[in-house]
Amino acid sequence: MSKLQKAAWFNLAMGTGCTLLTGAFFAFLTRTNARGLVYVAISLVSACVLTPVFYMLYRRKSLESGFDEREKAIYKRAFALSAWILMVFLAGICIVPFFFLGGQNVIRVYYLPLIFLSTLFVAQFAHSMAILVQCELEDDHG
Amino acid sequence: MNRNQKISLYLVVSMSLAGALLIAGLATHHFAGVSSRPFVYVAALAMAVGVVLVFRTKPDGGAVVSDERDKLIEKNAHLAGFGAVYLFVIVASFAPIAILGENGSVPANWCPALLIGAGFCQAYAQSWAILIQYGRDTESRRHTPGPAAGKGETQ
Repeated sequence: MSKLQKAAWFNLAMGTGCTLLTGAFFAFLTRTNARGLVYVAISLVSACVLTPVFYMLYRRKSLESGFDEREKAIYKRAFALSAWILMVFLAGICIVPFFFLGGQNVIRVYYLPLIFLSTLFVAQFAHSMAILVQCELEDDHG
Repeated sequence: MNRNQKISLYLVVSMSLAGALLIAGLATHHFAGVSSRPFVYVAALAMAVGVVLVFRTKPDGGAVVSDERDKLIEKNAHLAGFGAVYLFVIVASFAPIAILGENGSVPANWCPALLIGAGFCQAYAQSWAILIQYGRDTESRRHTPGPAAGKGETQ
């Protein structure tokens, strides 16, 4: 298994696991009508902003530098595909409630972070799956 | 100035003008109680002119349209746009919870507005990134001594 496939499997497992755990945790908190969800949201925002900032500031070398030409091509195609899926998903998840509820209706504020987190998850999932499928297809064709 | 730079310049100017007009409209409506509709119409006109200019920009002539440097600039600009959208969606998603509280609700119009805002944010940040990178590159080339100057020094 190549470094690219290992990274894709790791991202897929971590992304899916963390999303399921977070979803279950939030569902439990909402069901029990727990107070202080604002603080959880603040922590989440801080993590979402600081993680990419620290990654960009302190990374030694890019992820792609350890890949060969074939892996770089696979990575680039997977990134393009995940960017397209992200756009389509974000458009869908933003427009669907508008059409279902109508412009005059209201939605709970919790729906908005759900949009953001689900978009991140879908992009990550699509990226990892695209890498794994491409690697598998190339291995099959020799 | 190549095609990418021209398109970026048109977008930056028209979007900045439209943004300034909308802010001016909101300010006059809030402080003077005057209708902000004229500002909105002029802002829409500025955006429309910008978009028409973008579509009327002709492709670059010559055999080589873009080189490695252009591709790198384009890649960095895409990343800058993606980063701007990421931050915009975070702010637009979490700000209502902070402002309205845990049990608040927002109009359903907020969702398509988020999408449109993300599109504008991407275009604006990407255009700025392209202009800044080309500007920085031109500046560094101006300060770098040419081959003739280097030759003269060694002799």
